[in-house]
Amino acid sequence: MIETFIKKNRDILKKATEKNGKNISDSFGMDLDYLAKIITIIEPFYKFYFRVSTFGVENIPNEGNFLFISNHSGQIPIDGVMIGLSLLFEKKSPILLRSMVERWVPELPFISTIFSKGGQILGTPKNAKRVLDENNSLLIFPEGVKGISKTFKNRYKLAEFGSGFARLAIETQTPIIPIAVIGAEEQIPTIANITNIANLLKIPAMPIPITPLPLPVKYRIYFGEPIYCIDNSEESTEKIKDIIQKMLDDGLKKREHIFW
Amino acid sequence: MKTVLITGIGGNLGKILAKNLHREYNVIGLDRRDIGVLPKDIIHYKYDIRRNRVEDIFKKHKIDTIFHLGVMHNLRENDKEHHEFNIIGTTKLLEYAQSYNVSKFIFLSSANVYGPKATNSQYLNEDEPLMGGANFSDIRDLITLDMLVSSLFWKQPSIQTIILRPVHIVGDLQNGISNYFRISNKVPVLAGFDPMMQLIHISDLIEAFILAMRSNSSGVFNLASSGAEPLSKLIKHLGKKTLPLIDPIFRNIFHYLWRTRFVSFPPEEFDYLKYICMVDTTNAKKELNFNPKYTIFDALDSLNKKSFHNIIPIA
Repeated sequence: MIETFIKKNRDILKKATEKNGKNISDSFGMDLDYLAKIITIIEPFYKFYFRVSTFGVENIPNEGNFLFISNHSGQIPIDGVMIGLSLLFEKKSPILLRSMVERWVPELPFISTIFSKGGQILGTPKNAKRVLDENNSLLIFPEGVKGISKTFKNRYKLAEFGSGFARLAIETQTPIIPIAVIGAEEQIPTIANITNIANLLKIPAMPIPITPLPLPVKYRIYFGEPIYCIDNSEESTEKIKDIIQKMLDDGLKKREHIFW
Repeated sequence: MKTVLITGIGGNLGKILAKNLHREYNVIGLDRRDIGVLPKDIIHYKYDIRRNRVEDIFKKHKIDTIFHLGVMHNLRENDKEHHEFNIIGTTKLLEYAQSYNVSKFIFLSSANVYGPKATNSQYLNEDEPLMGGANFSDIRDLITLDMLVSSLFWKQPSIQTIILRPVHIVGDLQNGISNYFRISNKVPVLAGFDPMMQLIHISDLIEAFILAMRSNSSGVFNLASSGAEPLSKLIKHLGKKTLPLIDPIFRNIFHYLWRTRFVSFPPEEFDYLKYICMVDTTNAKKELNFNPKYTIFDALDSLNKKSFHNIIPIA
């Protein structure tokens, strides 16, 4: 029974990696069989717990590779996983999205192995460039930790964007697809982020959540139209930030309830 | 016929290189060790590289190319001896190269000078800082040598200087990594870590030496055989099992075992089983026409093969 699900997901991954007649080469140690198993485990959460709805998938061209830029929220990076799955499940020519992890992740036993086999890459500019050069699509959260550790009162207000993604887009001539994720902000509401303790423990954030587990919020993922960065990176960064903020505001207006 | 000086000719690599070169070049070896059986036309000087009479070799022969492989890696040797042999020996060799108009200086460094680190990019190029000594002081010797040799680039631009930085050399050798894969049917790894690795087959390395000798470029070049695989896959390929050890606990135990000479595996080398230290070989491919003929699995298969690596099709 479970084998059929794994096989189905393995086929999707195969389709995603053989796109455009080009084999996406992987020099980062991704293991597709392993990834298919992980996806099979997460799939029920995507379908039945967070009940992800996607909008604007048709905006993403079927050919080429892209830099996906999204808002980041929810204390734990479930948003990244849901975006990745939506591009595999909802798109006719599926996209296997690679994303970048924090610099301390390779120091964690087991987690580092799961991440690297699952196709996650350490976030260095060289790695980002290489992964795009190998025809992969890449997901970047320019807000970083500041975004994901937002407190509840700041929800859906974008934190400052790093401009690295825009430099990368200009350098590698990769089109950007803006993404707005709605729902993730409410999955683990936090009342405060005690940065002093976080600094003391040398961890990125110390949120005080009011729920131990993520709430079954409904995820809505909006994909915008591709944007080509040609002007300088600072201006492009602001431009993309404004576009995503507008997508968030519009999406929030349409949303009638957090949970359905 | 051009004349080639190989330091450290008594080592496995030195011998294989000499055998590959002696038909085409006059090969002179410098090694304080016995070199065993080598073709008769190879002249061996059993000198210590630090001695002044090494200069006599340069007086007697017109050396065109120096292959400097004579770097002491024996971690058991006392630090002072180790350091002196490497630094003084290399400094003298560089002096002779300059005063006796040697046209080419090829130095065998190692990709270990970059060092395994959590924050390493997947593929490091030659400009990366040499951080290998941060946790592993024995690598500092090699880093110093690497830098000493690279000072030739500006000191003596007329000498064509080439520094080769291969990844782990695996084959019929008695070096750390080859012995690691031979340990037993259960190969120790660190629980929860499975870093990607590159290896180089001896024949690919010897080929790179020969390409370096024939090319007109100078510079620093990373080398690896084709492919990169997670450590667990390499062990599986050998038909062996992994023996997961928990890092901080076993590192400390190994520290003690190493001190008391129960193991030949210094605890600092645990980092190689934990983090990546992989190199980008684009430069060597472009400048030296280095095109590895072997894959990472071929390198593993050559672990216990006794073979004569005859590579050069004599030009």
